[in-house]
Amino acid sequence: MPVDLVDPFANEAEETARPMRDLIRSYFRSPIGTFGLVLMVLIVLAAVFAPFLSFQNPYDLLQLDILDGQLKPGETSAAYGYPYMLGTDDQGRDMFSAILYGLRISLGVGILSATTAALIGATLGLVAAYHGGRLESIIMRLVDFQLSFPTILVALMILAVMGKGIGNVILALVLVEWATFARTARGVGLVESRKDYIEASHVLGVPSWRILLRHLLPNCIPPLIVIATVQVARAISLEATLSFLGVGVPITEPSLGLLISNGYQYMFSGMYWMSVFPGLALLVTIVAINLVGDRLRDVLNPRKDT
Amino acid sequence: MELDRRIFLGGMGTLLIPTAFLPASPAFAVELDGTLTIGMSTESSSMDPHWHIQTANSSVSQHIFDRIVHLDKNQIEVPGLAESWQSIDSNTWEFTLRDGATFHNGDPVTVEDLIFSYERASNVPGAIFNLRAYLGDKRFEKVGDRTLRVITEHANPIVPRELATTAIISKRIGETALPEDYNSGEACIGSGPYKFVDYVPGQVIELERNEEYWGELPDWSRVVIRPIPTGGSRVAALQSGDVNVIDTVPPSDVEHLENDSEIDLGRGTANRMIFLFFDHGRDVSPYATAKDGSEIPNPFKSRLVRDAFDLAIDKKAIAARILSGNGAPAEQLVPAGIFGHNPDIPLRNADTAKAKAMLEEAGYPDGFKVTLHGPNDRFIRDSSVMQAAAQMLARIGIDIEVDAMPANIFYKRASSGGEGGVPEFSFFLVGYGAATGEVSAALRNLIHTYDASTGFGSNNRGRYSNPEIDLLIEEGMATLDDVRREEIYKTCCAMTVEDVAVVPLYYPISVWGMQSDIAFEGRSDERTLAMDFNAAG
Repeated sequence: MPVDLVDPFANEAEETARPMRDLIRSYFRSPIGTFGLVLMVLIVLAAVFAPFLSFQNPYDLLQLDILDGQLKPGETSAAYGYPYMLGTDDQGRDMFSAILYGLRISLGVGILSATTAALIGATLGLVAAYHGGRLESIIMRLVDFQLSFPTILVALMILAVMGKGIGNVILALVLVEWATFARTARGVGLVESRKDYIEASHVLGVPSWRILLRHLLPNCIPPLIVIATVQVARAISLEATLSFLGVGVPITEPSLGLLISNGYQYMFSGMYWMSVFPGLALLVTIVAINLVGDRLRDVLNPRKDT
Repeated sequence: MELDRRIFLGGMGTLLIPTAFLPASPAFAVELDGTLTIGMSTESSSMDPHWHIQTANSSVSQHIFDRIVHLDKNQIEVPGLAESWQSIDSNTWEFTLRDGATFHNGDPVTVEDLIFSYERASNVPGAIFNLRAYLGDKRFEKVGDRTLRVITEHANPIVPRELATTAIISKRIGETALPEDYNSGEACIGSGPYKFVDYVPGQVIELERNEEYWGELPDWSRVVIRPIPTGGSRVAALQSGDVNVIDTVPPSDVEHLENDSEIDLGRGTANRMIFLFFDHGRDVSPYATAKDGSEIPNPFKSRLVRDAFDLAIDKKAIAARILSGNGAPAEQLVPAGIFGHNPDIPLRNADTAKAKAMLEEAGYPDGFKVTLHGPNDRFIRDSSVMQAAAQMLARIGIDIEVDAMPANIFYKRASSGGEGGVPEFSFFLVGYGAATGEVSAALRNLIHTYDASTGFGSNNRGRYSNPEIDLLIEEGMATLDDVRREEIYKTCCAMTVEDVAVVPLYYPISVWGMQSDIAFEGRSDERTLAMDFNAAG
């Protein structure tokens, strides 16, 4: 074994700096993509600064008063004197504050679960692609096995066994999502690992882990970013579904899905605000993330002329 | 990816179109001797009247099958297939059958049919709930052509009420019939005011009037029962005239239906009470801890703590704000009108300051931490009620978490989810219905010390135990004299409240909605019977 050979591709990172600037420029060439990104940034900011933007901590039972329950948008609190901009739910929870706090849960759960799933899935997928053989079969059969179950069913089962809670929701989402990443990573990895530069690294005797991390991974990242963005949106809607079904977050700390579910009971009595506003927030969030993901896909796709 | 986005946007678009699809059939006014269409919240799980005893099944079966004694809308015994009955001695009752009652196939109803029905009801193959609880202590004897004698193991004052649970079927048909034969209609032959026409599970039950019925003929020649489980759809179906009557009007719809001139509402206080139960049994209760999560002795062993909880919870506010008229605030085990209700027990006003002081006196100046468990799909607005209660307990310094879960999971854990198969929870929301129309059912199953061998305390998931009350309950259950028995039960109720065995929350009020040309007076057993509805005018 050669001891320490010079890696001919070590300065690749510097070379990507320029294309990066091109990528950003080409991203903003699309008005819809730009709109999506701006919307997403606004939503993330609103979620991060929720405690400063809202009148009430909707998760603190002491700040709720059922005598303020079921108020219309714009009505003023008898107990606190500030107006409920988007009305209140049956517990006297300010819908505006509840939506901001709900966004925190939704985004947090979505981003955390998608990145964790991406880490696990991409690692397994690339290892499978690079290593091949029996290890690849085992990993990919596991992926097939996982993908053959309906996601919502698997998530429901996991939560039924482990019980409610945000941590368990994230775990359930990671367990149902890693397979998508693994499959994509393996697909891209297979293509890349047949390319000359990988062969060259082999011939030069670069250690496997270094080939995986420094050469294969960076070149597989663009499709993974696109998948990750879409998976964040998917995780958010899946969390909302689970909470809507009553197996997600605890009822005293509602996320968007649980807010919709609570308000749904009042839909037919004309108290639309309890479920429509959180529903809109959820819709806008998911649309924004999908627009960004879509634009990223266009920009990062080398085959497509942008 | 392209396709994904299109599907996604398409799906979002579809969601925006109609959220509620309203059937576009014209509104037909009902007429005497016409058809009555009922929209029911729960579907009957079988046409076999002995297979599963729950409100929906009993509602349907009571159209087709008579009982030996019927319970009227206020749960008072009225003659059914027996025209009269009396107790001969403390262990013996005699029922005299009426002449002229016949099954739908023309066979007369005989004493043999009754005895056969009681035997079958205890032994239906695959039954979800068999009637042994009501029939197990009884022997049946034919002592004449029209006379049935019932001998009980111990003195039992409520034999007629217990027998009223069981539908009477024909022996000739029933001997060979399985539950499937009732579902197909082949064996679904009773002596009731309606005859079986059709049954499509999940869709419809059709009945036609039995013109030979021994009793008063109902107003409708045909009855169509449709299951509509979603509250909003049920209301929409009523408003569009698709159905004439619905049961279980959702609380949020009560107000706007009241303002609808074409719709009337009928109400009945159900013989049920929803309450919060404490863990009385264990010395350390798993979900009641110090605020930092460390173990503390079970605080609910202290009467003061229980009393503080009871005083902190504003039941009037819960009934008014959360249940909006579908519940009346509760102060004891059963509502007025049920035998054994004690009218001298007051409904207390909530008092946060006093409750806080009591908690301090009990040795918890800083409160403690507890999880409130309960079902989220069993009672009207159950999880909202739990949150409201949590809000009120937070104000006296209790650190409270609410965990609402689907009822099938909840009840399993609440009964036997704890270590060694004991009830799991420390503080939980449950309900109990006095099916026999007497408080004795609640006392016996809920308050009496748990005893697997005798069946006492079978629903006592809090393992409440008070030997004094136990003795009184047992005495009451063996007392045939109604006046004396009622006194004993009233004392039991007062002692239960005094000891704060439970925190009573509310009595659910069943609300029916109907077109305004239909008259209805409400029922207290939550059953929906076409016989109770009349064509107005």
